[in-house]
Parts: sequence; C-alpha cells; structure tokens
Amino acid sequence: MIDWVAAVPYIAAVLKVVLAIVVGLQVAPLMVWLERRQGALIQRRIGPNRVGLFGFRLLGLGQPLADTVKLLFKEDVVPSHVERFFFIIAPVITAVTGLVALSCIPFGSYVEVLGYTINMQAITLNAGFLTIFAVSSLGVYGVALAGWSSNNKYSLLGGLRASAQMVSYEIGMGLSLLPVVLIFGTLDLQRIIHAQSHDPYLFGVLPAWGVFYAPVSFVIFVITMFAETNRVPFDLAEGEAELVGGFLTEYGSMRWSLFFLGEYAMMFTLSALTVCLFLGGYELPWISHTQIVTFLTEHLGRELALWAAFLVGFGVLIGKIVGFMILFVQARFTLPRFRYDQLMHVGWAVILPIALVNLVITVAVTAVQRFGIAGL
Amino acid sequence: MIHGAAENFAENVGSAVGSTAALGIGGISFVILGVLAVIVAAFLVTRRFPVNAAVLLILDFILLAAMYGLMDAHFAAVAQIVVYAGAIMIVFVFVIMLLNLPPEELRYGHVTIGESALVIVSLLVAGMLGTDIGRGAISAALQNYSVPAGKQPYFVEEENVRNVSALLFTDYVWAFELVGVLLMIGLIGAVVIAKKRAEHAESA
Repeated sequence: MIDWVAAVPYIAAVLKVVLAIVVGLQVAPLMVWLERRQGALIQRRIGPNRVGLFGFRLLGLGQPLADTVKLLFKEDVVPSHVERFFFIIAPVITAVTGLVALSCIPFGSYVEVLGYTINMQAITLNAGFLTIFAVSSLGVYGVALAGWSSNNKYSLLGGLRASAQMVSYEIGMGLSLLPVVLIFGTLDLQRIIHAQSHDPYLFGVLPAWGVFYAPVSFVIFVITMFAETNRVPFDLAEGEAELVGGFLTEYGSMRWSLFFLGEYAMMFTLSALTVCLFLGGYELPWISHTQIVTFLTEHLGRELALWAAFLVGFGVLIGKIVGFMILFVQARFTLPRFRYDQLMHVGWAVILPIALVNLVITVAVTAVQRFGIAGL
Repeated sequence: MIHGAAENFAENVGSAVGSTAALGIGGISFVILGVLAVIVAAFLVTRRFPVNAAVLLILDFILLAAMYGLMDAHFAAVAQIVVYAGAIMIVFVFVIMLLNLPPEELRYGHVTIGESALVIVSLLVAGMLGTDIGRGAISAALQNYSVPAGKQPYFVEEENVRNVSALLFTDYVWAFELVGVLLMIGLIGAVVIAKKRAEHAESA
C-alpha cells in the first residue's frame, strides 16, 4: 500500500518537471506560427491564416499542428556518408538541454498541498541559476557534433561558427549577470524575484526590478541572449548565402525540427531568466505575490488563494516572456546579419570591456552601500 | 575489520548525501554513478577515434558532477560542468574536429617496456588498496574528510556559493591568490604565442 500523503513531494517533483517540458514543447510550434504571422505583418503579407480546427480558422493556429504532422510523417533520411551515431544524437542533445534548462525556471512562488509546501521551481539546486548556464553550456555540443558528424564542409564550418560564437558570448553573458548577483546578494531565483517585489520603490515610483538597478547588465544580457540562441542578427551559422544551411544542411524531417525545438526552448528559457532577473519574474509591478495571497485568503481560504496566486503569477510570467519572443521576431525581420569578424569584434572588444567596467562600478557602489566609504 | 570498513564507507556515503539510513537512495545512486564513471573512463582510454574519446570524457565529467551534487556540493557540480564539460572540452572538440584525421592516418605507437611496467605498478597499487592495510587507509581518510568529521560550514543553512567564497577568502586565501597568478601567467602566455604567430603571418 502506497502512502499517498507521504508521496506528495515526489509526485509534485515529477509534475513540475512535466509542466516545464509541456511548456517547452509548446514553444516551438507556437513560435513558428508567431514568426510567420508577425513576419507577414511586417512585410505587408497575410501569412498562414487558413488552417484551423473544426472549421474555425483561429488566425491560422492549426498551421503548427499540420506542420508537425507533416514533419513526423516525412521520410527520415540519414545520408550514407555521416558519422551515424553522432549524427543521430546531436539533435537530441540540443532538444534535451533546452528542455532541462527550462525546468530550472520558477513558474510560481509556492503552493500548499496536504500540508506540504511545494516550491514551484522544478530544479532547485543550491547553485541557483548557474544550473541553467551549466545545462546551456552543454547545448553547444549538439551544434558542434551536428556540424562535425555531417561530414560536409558547409556543416563543419557552420557548426564551428555557431559554437565559437556561443562560447565567446557566454563570457559576456556571465559577466553581465554578476552585478545582479551582487545587488541582490543571492543566486537563488526565487529569492531574487522576492527581493524585486519588495516595497522600497526606486525614486518612490519604479518597482524594485533588476532592470532599474542594473540597466547596462540588462542591455548586455539581451544582446548576448540573441547570440547564444543563434538568432538574427547573430545567425551566421545558417548563413544560407555562404554556408547553404550551416550545421543543418544534412538534416531533414523530425531530426531537423528537433534542433528548432531545442533552440526555441533555449530562447524561452533565456527570456524567462531575463524576466526573473531583471523584470520581477512572476510578480506584478507594485502588487506583490504576498499581497495577492493575503487579499485572496479572506475570500478563498489559504490553499485556494495560493493556487489562484500561482495562476496569476504564471500568466504574468508567460506574458512577460511573450513580450521577449515578439522582440526576437521583430529583430529577425528588422536587422541585417553581422559579418563574422564584426561578430567577434562586438563580442570581445565591445561587450566584454563594457561588462567588466560595469562589474567594477557595481562592486564599488555595492561596497560603499554595505560598508560605508571605508568599504573601498 | 573488512566488514567494519565497508560499513564505515556506507555510513559516510549515507551521511554525505544527507540520509540517516546507511545507504539511502542517495547512497545507492552515488555507488551507481561511481561505477558508471569508472566504466566510462575505461572505455574512454581504449577508444580509437578521438571524437569518441572526447565525448566519453564529457560524459565522465557529467557523472562526476552528479556525484558532487549528491554530496550537496551543488556549486562544485555546476562549476565542474560549466568549466570542464562546457568550456575546456569544447576547445578539445574544436581541435579534433578541425584536424578531422581520417582513421587510417591516426598512428598508434607500440606499447613500450616502460609503459607496461607502469601498468604493472598501477595494478600492484590497486591490489595494495584491496588489502586490509589499504582499506584501513581509505576508511581513515574517509573518516577524516567525511562530512560529520569535517569543519562546520561558515554559514549553516545558507547557499553553497556563500560558503565556498567564505572559505576561499579566509582559510584558503593564499592558495586562491596563487591560482589566480598561475591563471594570469597562462593567459599572458597565450597572448604572447598568438601575437608571435600573427606577426609571422603579416611578414610572410
């Protein structure tokens, strides 16, 4: 006989990971639809608007479903000249790392079930959001191995370009986050979000969000985020004019779309991380999660109030992330692609020094604030 | 004696992963991960193709990180993955991919007498560790460095990173600074070598 009450934390742990994976799997098809619709809007076209469900057009939202079915039933071709094992495993690495990284995002504060307090962050390692970097740094191997195993010059060059770019921009990304860690004094995403919901507003008006404390970090992080996810204007890996399709050249059908699944999941994760670090995560501006819970507890009772607050927070988080997704698409249809030397120049000679100076200034200010002028 | 050592080990592993039972689910996972890490390492040194070996090494690093994580050293685990599996190995993989030697061009030397002597010595050492004396040394070492016998953390119930940095900047500050100097020398060396080659390329 299983003790179901004692099993609640374990069931919750599994369900939270499932939630993250389910959210991550929806990102790719919806983003493809968003990208085509928004692109059409920008270029004054109509875009896919026919495929619907049950006779309703729904703005063409049936299109991703149809695309997925098409990709699943396409013939799965593995060219004869490839390194078979690595060719097959490479897209899986990209997809899995993308989805695992998403499980490190807190989707809400906490709920109470049968006396257990359940943190709505699926993976809560003691190293905080560094876990996301650990997982995403493994994602590079998907791209690198895909390029190499395809046994094709274009693929190899594309893979090397993509991974070199990801490795170079990881440094700027990490350095841009250190000021945020210093300001909030913790690596735990839940604590950072909580600190951002606190009452002392900046200048009495602005919410205490990271973006107002560390604006330079925010800008650098968003730029490096575009580079890390190989999106325009940093998508040289797929520069079709010079490299055919980059590391994707030899891939087709579902294997090809697994790369997209992983990349979109990583885009979503990094957007979520930006939201958590700089834009207050699942917290509404000016109204904190605690206030919502206290207000709702009078009407619904504590457990239900926590669930309701979780749903509100989840909606807020997704809303903020969708804003970033729209920004990604807008950039894709607005900006031209960088040249490779420009890309490396921006990464090493512009972003890195700015991030370093930003870090030094933040360290000085934080030291003065904590220990007085003697802290210097 | 032997039984005692084994029990001690189990207890240490058990306490290392924070369970009161001698070998809880954490201890069992720890043992499984350890055995897997050794098997992967054995496969790694016997691979013919460099890329296979590199990927197995990455896998080994990840297994080690998982073991650190089971011992509640989450920061060490994450650092292991970011630094070793992520940053250092990707450079190795780059080099291997750019060389991309066809299998027939990979040359293998013959096993020399010195190498076989080394293999024999290491087998002897492994055998020594299997005897009572060796076991005693291992369990004593485990006693000294196990979590209960070790130093109490500076910040109990606090984040890993806080404790690691507290140790780095108090007890181990000299070692930390020395490592910093060493890394700096490596960095300068890399710049010097790269610069020399760039000048050569310009003059040529």
